[in-house]
Amino acid sequence: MEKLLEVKDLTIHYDTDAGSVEAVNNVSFELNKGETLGLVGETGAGKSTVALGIMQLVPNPPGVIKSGQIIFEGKDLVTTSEKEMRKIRGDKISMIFQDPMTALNPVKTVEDQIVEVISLHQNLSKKDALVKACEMLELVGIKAERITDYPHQFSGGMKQRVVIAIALACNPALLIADEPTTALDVTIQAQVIEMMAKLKNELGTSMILITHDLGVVAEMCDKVAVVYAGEIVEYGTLEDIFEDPNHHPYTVGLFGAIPDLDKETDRLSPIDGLMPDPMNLPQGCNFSPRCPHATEKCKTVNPCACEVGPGHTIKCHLFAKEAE
Amino acid sequence: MGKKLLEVKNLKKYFKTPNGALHAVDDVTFTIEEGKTLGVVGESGCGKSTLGRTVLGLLESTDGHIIFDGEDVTHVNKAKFHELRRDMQIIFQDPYSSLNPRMAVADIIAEPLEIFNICKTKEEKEEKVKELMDLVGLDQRFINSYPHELDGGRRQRIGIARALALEPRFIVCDEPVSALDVSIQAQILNLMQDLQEQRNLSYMFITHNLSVVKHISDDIMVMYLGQMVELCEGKELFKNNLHPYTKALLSAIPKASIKSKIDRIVLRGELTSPINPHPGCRFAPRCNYAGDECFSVNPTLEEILPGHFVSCHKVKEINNL
Amino acid sequence: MANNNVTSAPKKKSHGAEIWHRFKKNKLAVIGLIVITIMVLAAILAPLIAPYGFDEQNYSETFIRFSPKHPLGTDNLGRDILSRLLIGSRVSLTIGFIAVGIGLVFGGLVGAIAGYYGGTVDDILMRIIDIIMAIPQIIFAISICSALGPGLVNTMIAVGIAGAPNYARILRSSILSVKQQEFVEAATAIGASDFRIITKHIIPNSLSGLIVQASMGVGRAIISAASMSFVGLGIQPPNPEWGAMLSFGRTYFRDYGYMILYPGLFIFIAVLSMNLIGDGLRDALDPRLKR
Repeated sequence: MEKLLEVKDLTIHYDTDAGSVEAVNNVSFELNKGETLGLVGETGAGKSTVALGIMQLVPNPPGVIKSGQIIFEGKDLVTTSEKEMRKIRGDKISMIFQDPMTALNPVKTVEDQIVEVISLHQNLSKKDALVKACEMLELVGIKAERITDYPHQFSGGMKQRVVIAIALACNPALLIADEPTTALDVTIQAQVIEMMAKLKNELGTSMILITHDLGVVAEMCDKVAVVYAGEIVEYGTLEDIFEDPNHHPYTVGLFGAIPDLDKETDRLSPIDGLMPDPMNLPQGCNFSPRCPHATEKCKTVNPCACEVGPGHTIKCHLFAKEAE
Repeated sequence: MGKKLLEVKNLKKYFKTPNGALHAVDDVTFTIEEGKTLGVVGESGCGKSTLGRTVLGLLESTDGHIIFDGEDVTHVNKAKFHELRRDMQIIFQDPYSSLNPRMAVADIIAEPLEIFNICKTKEEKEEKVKELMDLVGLDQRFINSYPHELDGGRRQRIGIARALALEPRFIVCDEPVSALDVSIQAQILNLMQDLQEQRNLSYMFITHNLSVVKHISDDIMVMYLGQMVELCEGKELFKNNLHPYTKALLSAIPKASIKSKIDRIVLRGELTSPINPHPGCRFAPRCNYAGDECFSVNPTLEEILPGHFVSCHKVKEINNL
Repeated sequence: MANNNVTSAPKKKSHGAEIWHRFKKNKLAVIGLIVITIMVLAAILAPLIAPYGFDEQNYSETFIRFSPKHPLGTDNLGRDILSRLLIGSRVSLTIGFIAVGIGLVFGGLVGAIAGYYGGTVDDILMRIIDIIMAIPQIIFAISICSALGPGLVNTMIAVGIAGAPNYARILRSSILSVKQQEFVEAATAIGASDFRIITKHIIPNSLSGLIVQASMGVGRAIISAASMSFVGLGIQPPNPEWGAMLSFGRTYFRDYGYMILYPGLFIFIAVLSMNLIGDGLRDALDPRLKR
């Protein structure tokens, strides 16, 4: 398997008047060609900041990449110039945002918007670009004759398809999808997921899928990183996360909090408390104030990622003991 | 069987639009017993929120009857409407826009108490507000905070405290947890269950999230474009669903498990809005089983199995009944 | 800190205190506020601090550009310009604030009614407003003033009414958007009366746009009043007013430019300060910019 993207110790902070928001801390992961990585976590966990970091779109000020490397096709994006990044964005790496309603320009036709991306990055004649644009629409399941329509003439699910068509127009090596189906209804979500899975196989695109929905992860991902308060607390293959008995207490909490359709549960077991304020992270392990297994050590020493199986790491003292 | 608290019969709510009448709620019938929860599921635009507001009287119904505690409250005067607020309340979806940003937590929770002159003195009112905050698990140190200083879960607790201030018997919960993160969602769901037990509350729980509705509901009603397609006991719906839309809806949920890969029924097309709908089943254009009859004749809600109502021409054929 | 449950409830921080906290961060707005405060204080204390009376003529000291006795010089009648500016600021600033007040009351009322009730009421009121807005504001003010006759009160009324349509539109549109917020529906659901909904929920949330517009409107009203004096309709001589002084000085401005420089400068500074305050208020009142 060929390595496409490697993120090493990425740390991104937002320096504001009130203090430094530690949005992403020492995040590391790898992505091979054709693989899908799921970044799972709750609002404010820093998932989207990681994505913006890879795109080099962290708003600056206040956002600063404090340290780390993002190696994409052998090149460190952190040190890449803005001019070069502009060539990479939309061509080699593209991004899909959560809300399809605002991601499209309402006063331009779909044709204009797809052709724009294609002609920006590929040396195609106007005619060829149009042909390619029609192909892309057909690919996402929209009839090519609708290409002259404006975004408002499409429904929510169709708009998200258009957004995906634009993102895939230049056949990117990496697609970052930030909650691509959250704004959609379940039956429409099912359509979009099915289509994305099909396209991924056909085009061999690698994908980073950002979501809070473990169900979507189970459907689409090969690898999963569970993100909590700016850190990856558990990282492994889909099987590791869903089948392995060893888990980070936060992952256990996440699973316990969703009502299971196949089982009868009288009460849910939510995680107590709230996500810590990223401006004021707790001492030691970030999860310790909410963790049912927290010990004195957890409150003072930040744990390292411990390998519990090949490629399956958990950032928790509970598992460090076993290793000793 | 418990005491019937709310009975809704053939309720209709049409909106006038420039393009014709929008049939937001069309011929909906159900009952809710004391201390029970009716879950209302459907996708966006199926009329579930309109149904909730019409039942409460916040929207005037076009036709049909709403009977609350044995009394017909379909069309009531202002005074009676006011009085009914003490029994019927609502919890909103968006904990951000449903709280007045200019009011402190204490003022928001105290507002219903002020309107109904429940507390004689200022001290009494403050006592009551603190009591309500304890009830919904909101730390008293937030009493003087403003909503924007709090997170979604805490804000939703304020909304719940406000709804409970008048000690209602029936609460419409309009997607109360869909704006919240999963871990917070579970906290709020547990809180709502506890409150139901303590106070014998009846809920009408509106949501698009099927796992949530299954967890909290006694009975579940599935809606599609303003019409009810299936109504039965919650467990029954997940074990033995009969309507083709319900089947597709349930199979569309991504499961947080990699063991049980099911054959997914992927529906074609999308929801439209029911403006001047043609006669016939509204689901027919997306249905895999639709026949000629489905496009011309309105299906009626029938009790196919005991306590299990379905509105579909082909239900027996599809399920081999 | 987050889990420290023993922390007692923080003292109630009013909404005003919070706005002030954010307003303070905008340095330019604070400077504007200081300047306007000084101007208002000077206007209030003008009779005490002005070295001469505003109509004190001294024919032996006409057209003095600068002297220790007259730091800003004297005019053709030997009147001290500084004293006239200070006394004149009472008139100019009063017109500015009161005219905006009149505009706010009329415009706000019309806008609130149109926005809350909607439908036909809204249509009729807004068409009337549209018609008024089709007339240039200054011409409208001049026509009102020529109908009522010149004078301080009439100038304020004319400038105020001419500005009212603006406020009506702003308040109407913000009420329309606030009305759709869920907390208004929530108030209905807990049984709040129409009056309570309007006064406690809708108005407080609709005012921020109006406040910003009004603060900038003060500057505009000062200019309008000055223009009216300039064409001879506003304040009548010998009463000093910045616009009137400007108008009066134009006869001599080729040789004695300072006579229009100082009144012009005062108008400029006052208007600029009010605009800076308006800018600052807009940022301070916008909840999206919190933190």
